[in-house]
Amino acid sequence: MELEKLLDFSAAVGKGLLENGAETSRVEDTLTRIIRHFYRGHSEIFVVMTGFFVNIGTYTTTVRVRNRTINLDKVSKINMLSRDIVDGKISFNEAAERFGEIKGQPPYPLWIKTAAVAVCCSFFTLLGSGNLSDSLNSFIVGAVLNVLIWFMRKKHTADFIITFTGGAMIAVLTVLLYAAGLGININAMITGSIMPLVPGLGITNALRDIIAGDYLSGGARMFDAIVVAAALAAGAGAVMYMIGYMSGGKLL
Amino acid sequence: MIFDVIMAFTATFMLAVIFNVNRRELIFCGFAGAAAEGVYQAVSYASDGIPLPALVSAAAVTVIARSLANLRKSPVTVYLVPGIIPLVPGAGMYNTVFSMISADYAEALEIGIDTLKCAAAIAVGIVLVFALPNRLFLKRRK
Repeated sequence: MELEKLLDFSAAVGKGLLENGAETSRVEDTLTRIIRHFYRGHSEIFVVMTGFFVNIGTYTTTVRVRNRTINLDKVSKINMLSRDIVDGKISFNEAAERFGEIKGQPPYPLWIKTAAVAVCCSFFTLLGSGNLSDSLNSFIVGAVLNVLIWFMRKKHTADFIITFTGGAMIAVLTVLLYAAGLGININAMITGSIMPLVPGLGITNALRDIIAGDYLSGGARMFDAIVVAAALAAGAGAVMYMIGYMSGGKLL
Repeated sequence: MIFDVIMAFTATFMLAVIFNVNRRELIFCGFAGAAAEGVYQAVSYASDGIPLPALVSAAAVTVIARSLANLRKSPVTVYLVPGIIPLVPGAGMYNTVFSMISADYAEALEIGIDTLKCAAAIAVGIVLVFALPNRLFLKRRK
């Protein structure tokens, strides 16, 4: 077994996990198992939310993870791959090949995701005491929201800006559609439409990392979730306040 | 209430699509979200106050997510992340910030503390169930 190859492979696997929304403890656990399976000597792994170090024998590498998205299918498949490696079902070359396939697998196409966000927004509006016309408003807002997010992700905008702009856009578009006569309950429409942007993954991963005793990543993720939530609420809230102020308190 | 559960199911199903969950697991994510909403409504009907329904339903979703993870051999995150979102106090977050911006501090404090209580209850619910050993959950027969 060539150590350099193993190092490259484990760095790629770790990056794949961390980029697609796996928790820190999972990355550490997966890498440890894979490396132990192929190499009996000394190895050490240190993972934080934004990158990790891998050390196998005398080789060391540092990987920085900048773009984090959510692709739970890839996390699940890489997890399965690592199980198969540890069980001895596949050789190193087969594993590398299968990882390449997982890495190149495309996410759901844009139009499916846009439809999903739109339906999601409209159903959360219905859940939060909105009526049918409110949910139609949220449906349109959700579709535009996803296209906006997709565009900003493509331009590598910071997460904070994406969420803040997303929240602001939700408020602007909801009020515009309301002014055009669609929907009655502005509060229900806005709280329904912000739901797809709520940091559910951040909260879950933060808790899992904290339970695993990884307070550095857990704390960072918790803070990340709070910042995202605050940005979202502030984006929508600031716009609604300005609109309320400009319309002399007639809206709201 | 049945209507609400169906809506929660669909919304969570769509959230799972947004998070790129595999096609075969989408429907199970939907069940997790439906269970979250159902348990939340049942408990809030039986008790007053905010934290208890959030705590019990978060714990229920985590139990379901861990069982599904064992049965379907996927990470718990796949089911837990979409399933937990119907419980997240999005409305509370927005209303807190909005009353803060409108300089209505008494209202902001009141809603804000309720929101924090709800968020903390969800966290405690998840943590409690994660602290249990894995053999207590459903397993696939060998």
